[in-house]
Amino acid sequence: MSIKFQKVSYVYSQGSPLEKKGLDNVSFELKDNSFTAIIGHTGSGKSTLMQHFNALLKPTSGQIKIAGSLITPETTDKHLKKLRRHVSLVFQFPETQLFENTVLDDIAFGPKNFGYDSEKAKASAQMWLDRVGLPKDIANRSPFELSGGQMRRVAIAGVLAYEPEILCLDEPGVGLDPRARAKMMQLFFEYQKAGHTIILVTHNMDDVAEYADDVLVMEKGRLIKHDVPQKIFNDRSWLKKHYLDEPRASLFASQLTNYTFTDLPLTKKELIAGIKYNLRK
Amino acid sequence: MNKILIGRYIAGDSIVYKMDPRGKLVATILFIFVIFLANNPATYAILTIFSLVAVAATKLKGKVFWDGVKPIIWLILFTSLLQLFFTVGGKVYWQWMMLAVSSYGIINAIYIFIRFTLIVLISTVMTVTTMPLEIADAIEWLLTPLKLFKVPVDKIALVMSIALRFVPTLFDQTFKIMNAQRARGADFNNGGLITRAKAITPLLVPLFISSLETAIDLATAMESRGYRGDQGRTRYRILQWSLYDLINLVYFIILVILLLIFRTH
Amino acid sequence: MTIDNIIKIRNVSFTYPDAKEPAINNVTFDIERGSWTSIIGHNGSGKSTIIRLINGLLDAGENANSKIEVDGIRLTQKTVWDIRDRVGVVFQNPDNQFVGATVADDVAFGLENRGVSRLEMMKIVPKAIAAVGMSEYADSEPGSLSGGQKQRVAIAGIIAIKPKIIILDEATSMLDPDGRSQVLQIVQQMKDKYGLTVIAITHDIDETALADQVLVMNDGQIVTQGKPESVFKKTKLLNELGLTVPFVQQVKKDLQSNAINIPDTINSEKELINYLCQLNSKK
Repeated sequence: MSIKFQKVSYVYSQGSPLEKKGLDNVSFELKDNSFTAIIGHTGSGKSTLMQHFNALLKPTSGQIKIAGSLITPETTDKHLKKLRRHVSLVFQFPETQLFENTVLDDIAFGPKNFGYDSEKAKASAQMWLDRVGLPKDIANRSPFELSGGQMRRVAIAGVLAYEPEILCLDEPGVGLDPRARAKMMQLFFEYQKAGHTIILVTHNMDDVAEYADDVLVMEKGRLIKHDVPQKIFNDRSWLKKHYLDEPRASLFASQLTNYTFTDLPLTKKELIAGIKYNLRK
Repeated sequence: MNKILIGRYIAGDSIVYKMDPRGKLVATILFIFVIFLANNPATYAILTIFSLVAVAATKLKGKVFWDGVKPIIWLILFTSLLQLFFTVGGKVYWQWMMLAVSSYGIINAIYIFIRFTLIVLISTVMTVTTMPLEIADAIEWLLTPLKLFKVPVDKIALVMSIALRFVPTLFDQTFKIMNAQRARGADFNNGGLITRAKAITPLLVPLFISSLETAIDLATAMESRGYRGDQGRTRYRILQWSLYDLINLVYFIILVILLLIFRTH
Repeated sequence: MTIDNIIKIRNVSFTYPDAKEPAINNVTFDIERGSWTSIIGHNGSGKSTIIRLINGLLDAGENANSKIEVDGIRLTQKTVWDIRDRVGVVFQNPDNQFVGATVADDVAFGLENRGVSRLEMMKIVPKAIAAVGMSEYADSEPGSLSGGQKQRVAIAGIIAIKPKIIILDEATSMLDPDGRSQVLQIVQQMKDKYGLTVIAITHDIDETALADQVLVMNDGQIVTQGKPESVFKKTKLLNELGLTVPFVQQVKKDLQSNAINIPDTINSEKELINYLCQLNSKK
């Protein structure tokens, strides 16, 4: 059951003077259990694209097949619960969505909405509180007493607690310190390994290199490239032409002018191995 | 949606745009009183012509003004119908129980309809050609005499301008939180009144918290940028009268004079 | 020649009301005039508290042993406004510090507060806006600007009051990479042009490459400080504090642990690349 976008276009404020094309004839297919990164500049349509995955936005034309549902321009807001149970979406700064009296209740909000009974919702909340690396004793505290980083984790736990098959993330690490960031990315990576699909909107090319196995590149509402990270980052002149950054490792490697790499190193690990190989030759 | 709340300013360039917001605001308010000077076909015709000229002077499309009238067209029609059926006097054309259509009724209904529509048109002329901030500045100017009574007009003005400035931010935040809760299975569109009222908690609490955070951040930034109340504050944005405002004034005076001449005494 | 320190912090402590532990615990440090200082540390280490103490947004209370001195003025209730004339802060959230209805209004805000005449403002405001490259947006409303543009407007508002010190309080952390590099570039330009002292609180470790001095904070104390290369040599300490080191340092350390000998004198990316290229041509 893959994710399939077929000629999807989206127009903002159609018919008004502010009319703007958000997505322009976007088609692609993503494999189950993949880790797909969506990259591109601010305003390129990444976020618009992401909001189509669970029908927060519905295509102006074209259709989307995802998690057993079909989204078309005619899809109404009713009966979307099944879709949203399976496809979830985490916005930037998700800590702003917290509202319950206790951390545990907040995490259980999603599961309850999706039909878990109160007992099961609590149990799931308890489990995910632990999995996102939060101490057990904060369960009954108000989420608003926590630090920014902890609040972020509570919000993420609140989405993971009903175990959506497909998890879409918009810059989940922005504003966190490096340690918290790395932990969070690791959490999503493990979630993928446990058999789920991850879609990550990001500006961080190191994360793309490290975790993604598939990349969508957006520009002005169009999908301009869909390939594996290795292929995308190997084409340095293409990246330059579209003002896209490179992973730090490949940027470093490309300056080692008298080294030869069979594959351009994308991660630090690959870079070290490549340097070693060249020096031992 | 946010167009309704933050005013319906539409960028444009014409003589009306160049007029000072204070003049426009005062003229609009006075117009509501002046309209009552009209009491016969000639004066209503004068009012209509003067208003339509003002509308035309904005150089905006007719649709803009139709959009202004549309939301309350039913109210206007309903009021006119009340006049039509409940006014007594003159020749009676039709009668049923308490309801009657008389010649006075017909005339009154038409007058009411014109009066209402013209007020909406003229206030639309002002709101579409004047930025909300300019309107706030104009209100501040109108309130200036209250300074004599120790009303902190400058502070009120600053509060108004900051409030206007943050309306779009608040809207963005609202939509963002709504979407985030929808993704968690919250449903804002279905269910009865109580379900819906309950569904709004996950929206209101975060909105309240984030507004509070914004307010704290803003206060910190303002203090750090040297804001210490009205003491010795100067103003960068000031309003200046120009020749265009003279046009506004002369036009308005001519209207009043014509109405005074042609009305039935 | 003695070092001209624009900021002198001596034995300063601060505890938030209702908190058990002090947020700042007996901190002492100096910042040299015209230098760029980066303050790093994980969330809650006291980084933001210390800058709020410097411009009097938080009050450490008066105490004979401790003092905060900015540009030769000791911070007291009386001098706080004089100090704020010398210190401009760019905060984290671009939206929440934009006071004015338009770019020009916002840039004028600090001048209005200081009672600068309108005639004078009409000269200063356009210049400050031009300095950050935002002239074509002078009449724009904040809603139509990107986060990076809003931060540039914030910088213009600071430049307008001719401060001596500009503090970036995680000012780039909510921006995309384009916005981030634009803001840093502008700050660098302003620093050179007006001889400003820059203090940057940051999570972006690669940003510290711009710094002359790095302060590392943990639990309200300064754990270590010095030139970037000497601070980032302490990889073990930084890792214990949950901080990463710049990418070059990571690569250097990993190469060393892979039995590739890199001399300690090599610290910048350029040096490391040159050294590795030489190493490869020698064999």
